[in-house]
Amino acid sequence: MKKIDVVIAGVGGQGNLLLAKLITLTALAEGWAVKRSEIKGLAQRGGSVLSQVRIGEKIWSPLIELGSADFLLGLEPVEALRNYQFLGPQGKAIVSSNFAPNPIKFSEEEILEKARSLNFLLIPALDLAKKAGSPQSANIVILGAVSHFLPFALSTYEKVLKENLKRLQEENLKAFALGREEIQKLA
Amino acid sequence: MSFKILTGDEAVAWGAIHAGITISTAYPGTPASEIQETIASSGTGTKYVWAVNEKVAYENALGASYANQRALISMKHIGLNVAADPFINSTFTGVNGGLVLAVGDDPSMYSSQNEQDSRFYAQFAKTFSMEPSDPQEAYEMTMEAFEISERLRLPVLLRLVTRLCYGESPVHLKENGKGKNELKLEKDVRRWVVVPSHARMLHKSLNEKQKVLEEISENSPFNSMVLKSKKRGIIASGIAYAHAMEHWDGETSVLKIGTYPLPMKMIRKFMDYCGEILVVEEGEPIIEKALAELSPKVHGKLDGTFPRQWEMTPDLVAKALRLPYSPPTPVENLPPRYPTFCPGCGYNFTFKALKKINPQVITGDIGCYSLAVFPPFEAMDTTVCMGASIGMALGLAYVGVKKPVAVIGDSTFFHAGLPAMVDAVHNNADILVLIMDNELVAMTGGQPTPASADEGKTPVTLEQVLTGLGVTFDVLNPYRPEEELLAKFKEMLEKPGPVVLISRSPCITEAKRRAK
Repeated sequence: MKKIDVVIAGVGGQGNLLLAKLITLTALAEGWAVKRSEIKGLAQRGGSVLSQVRIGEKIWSPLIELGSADFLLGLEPVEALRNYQFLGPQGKAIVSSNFAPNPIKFSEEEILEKARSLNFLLIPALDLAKKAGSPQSANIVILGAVSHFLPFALSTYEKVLKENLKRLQEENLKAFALGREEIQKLA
Repeated sequence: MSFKILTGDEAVAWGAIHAGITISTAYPGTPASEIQETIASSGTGTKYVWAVNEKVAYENALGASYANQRALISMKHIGLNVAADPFINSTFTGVNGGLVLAVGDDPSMYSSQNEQDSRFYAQFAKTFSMEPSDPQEAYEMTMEAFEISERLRLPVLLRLVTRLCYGESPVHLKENGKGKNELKLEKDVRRWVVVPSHARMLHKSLNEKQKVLEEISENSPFNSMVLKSKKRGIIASGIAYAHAMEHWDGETSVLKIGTYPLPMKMIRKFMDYCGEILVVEEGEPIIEKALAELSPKVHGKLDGTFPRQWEMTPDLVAKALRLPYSPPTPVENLPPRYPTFCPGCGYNFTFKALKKINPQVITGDIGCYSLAVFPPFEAMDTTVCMGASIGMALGLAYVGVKKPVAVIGDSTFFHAGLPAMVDAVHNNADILVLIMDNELVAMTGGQPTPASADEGKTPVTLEQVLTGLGVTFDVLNPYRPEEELLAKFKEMLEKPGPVVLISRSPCITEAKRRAK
């Protein structure tokens, strides 16, 4: 049975839930069955946020099993590593190399080294979003990156983005394109 | 028919709207707050009330039901402890208009103090309950729950869980809902006044109703059976059914449970048919216990096949069925990420100052300020339940602990702090109550408190209440220099008897949200 399981890891304020929603809507528009779930309890207070999107012909559980995700999307490297257990043997981790602020001190280089050793595809999502003219759009950069691997038409993403993002449409479309371009250099 | 992508919470809200509710009442609590938020923003004009606490919310709905109106009440599982008094007695009085109580349980405690199973409450109160497995079923069950409630003249409990509340999928909605019931008052003191002589008869009639509850359950379309293999069967309920079906091999027999009391005839038939049986349920082993009395071939939480605590997952089902399961090893030694106060929130400064004052003991309460237990503040010694900060500080003071500090939020103060505050004054207890006032219920998404000056509302301010109690109080602006905060704390702590300090700083996250 065909299925695509996507785990999205980040912290509050990074647009995790919106990214999950956009993937959900794109898959639905292409006629797939979808279930999405999220844990956002303390999201507003800088806590971890985890979304799960399950796409397939028939989806029962909203939850993705550990070791079975097809994609691990990270809006932040530490949170992506924290959820590494979700990734399946053939799964791909597409992760922003830009860190979210954390009052705890740690070596960013060690974290990135760890991510590279696990074959994470690292892209500077925040830097690219800034380049696109919208620093809030790092999530859309990641969407552009994963779109390279997902079986959905570019025109569907564009339609969903336009219908659901009322502000900064042009910047978001650019962020999407930059993400898609960047991942092709790595993949 | 049209379809919308809805979470479980949203589906319950739309089910209630389409069932013709006149009113929705609630006290916010994760994971159920979004039920009433959905009704509020539905554009249907359905009346909704954020009550001061769950008990009052329940009583509001019961009052509406007395006037033959359909009412929805929503709350988190722990809220039902607060509303247990009217809930349980309302199964004696019964209801007139349909009354449905939607409760959001929180297995694994993503945002809660415990993971109690609300199905126990329905059992305890001897009423009907339903447990949806996905948003579509949440929508349909909610509508059906109102029908059953009016048929049985009993409140019906909808048991939801976090993963259902915050899980989203397409839901087919009816084009038109049911109209509202006629407003009427049919007085019947033998039902509605539970003095002992009436209550004795009411308990008898509630017990007599149990047969009808069982019949409804036996015939409910929300319970269903697929009889295949005679060797192995799965009995699953609610969202756990979805987790179990994730691993269905197409051969194992399956019994899906969606209503309580359990359809025991159906269960017996299933158990006679199957050999070994695996019970997959969220929370306590309620179904499993009922089955284990019938047969020793039942597996689940009681025999250690599943853990006794925390949420059910497809992972656990895979392990129980001995399916291949080998997730990668977790990455270790990652920097932790503690939830903390939002940047710029006044709580940062109040707790920094309180930590420097270093009182002998700080009793805490439920809300954003509970996060003061984590670094860098570590300025909270207890957090038990809504309102316990003041009640426990009183106990400490009664036995001789010097000036305990009770920290409580504005909404929590109104919710359950007030009675203890009355006791503090009455007993001249030597405590400092620090009210963290951000002018709304912040943790659950910015719902109003009784002090809110929303359109058509009369603000009941903390100052009014404290003046009425005759207690010494002062207001602190946490954005003032730290020396001022420290001086104010010291000044208040030196005053004898109960004193109250209100640290006031409007929630900045809510301010940002409203500016958008």
